Amino acid sequence: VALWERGEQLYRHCVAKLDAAQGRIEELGSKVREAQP
Amino acid sequence: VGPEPLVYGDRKVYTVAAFNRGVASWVARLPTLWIEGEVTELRRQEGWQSVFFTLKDPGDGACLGVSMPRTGFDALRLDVGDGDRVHVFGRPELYEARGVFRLRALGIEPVGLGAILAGIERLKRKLAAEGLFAVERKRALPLFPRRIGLLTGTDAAAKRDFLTAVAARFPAAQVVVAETYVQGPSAPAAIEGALRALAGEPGVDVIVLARGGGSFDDLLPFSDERVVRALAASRVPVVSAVGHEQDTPLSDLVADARASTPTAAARLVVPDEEELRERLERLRERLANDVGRIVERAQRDLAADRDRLALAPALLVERKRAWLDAAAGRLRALSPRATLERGYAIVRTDDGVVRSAAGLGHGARVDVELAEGGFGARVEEVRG
Repeated sequence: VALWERGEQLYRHCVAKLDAAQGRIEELGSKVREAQP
Repeated sequence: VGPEPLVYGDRKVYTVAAFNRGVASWVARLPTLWIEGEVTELRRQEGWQSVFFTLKDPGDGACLGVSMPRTGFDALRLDVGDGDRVHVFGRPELYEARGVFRLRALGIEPVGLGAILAGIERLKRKLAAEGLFAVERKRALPLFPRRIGLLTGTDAAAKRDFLTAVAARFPAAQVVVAETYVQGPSAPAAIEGALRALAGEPGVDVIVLARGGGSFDDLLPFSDERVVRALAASRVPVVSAVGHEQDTPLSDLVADARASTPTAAARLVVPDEEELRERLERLRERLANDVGRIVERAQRDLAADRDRLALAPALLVERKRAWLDAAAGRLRALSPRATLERGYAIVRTDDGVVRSAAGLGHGARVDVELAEGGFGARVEEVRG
């Protein structure tokens, strides 16, 4: 059970990381679009 | 002893054979001598023992038949033909069988033009054997000569023609002119000296030897051995533009390039500026078109790369998220909580999860975990 709970925690951690990465990508993408002539 | 005549009364009569024999014997006593004339009707065949020709007096057309043993004639290696003047050394003879009077030749020497031609031919063979006319010796002319050396006669039309053609084709070209004797006995030495001087001029990287044609005699210096050797030894490429198609002077053979006229020589040594400009313009246009196409293609590639680059991180995140969701699904399928939901319980002692009743004793303390909450308990009965 503890192992499973650790797995759940890890899943939540990964989801948070992916969400952050996606947010960063979108932020950079909009900067690039703004910089285009 | 002469031939014996037949006697008819007071008349002595000779047979034709006897007469011919008598005359032949008399003619045979004449001395050997040289005779000058023009060769005509030369007849030579492999199967014949002798070569025959007629020697004609160019003055009044008088003719004399000549025969010469074929082996002797061939050994002289003469290149004589109709109209060539020769000196024939021989002995008069009468061909008895036909009563034909002729000269039995022992030697033949070309004279006048023929002798000169033979001399040139001999020199040509000698220089060719030395490799002076070999194609491998020919040097390429410079594409853009810094300075052109022009060797020509004093006040020659050749000079004017050459300079006019050069100025028309490539006005920027610089020409160093060396005027010298190009005909007469002093010409070979003069040409040789002028060639050396021109080759020594700073910047001269091609020399044109020009003469606007002339008679055979006029062109003789251009077949002189000194001139030919000087041309071969020139440190810069030489163009021979002596302008005589019929009798090729040896300068034409030894030079790195030959031209039929001084104007043609100009076309060889300088490019046509107008043609160059047109070519340059065409190349410039092609370059601009090519560069435009290359830039366009690069821009397209760059845009495609940029789009791919913009999408790549998002795609990667998506892929990772899909993988993570799949892993989470598997994790949930294996969840012990799901099992508890179905009414199962987890029993633990201080030693951990109880999987067998064998380790339990009567009254042992256990913890029971349920889907929601749990409780402590004691073992009342152990079953096998």
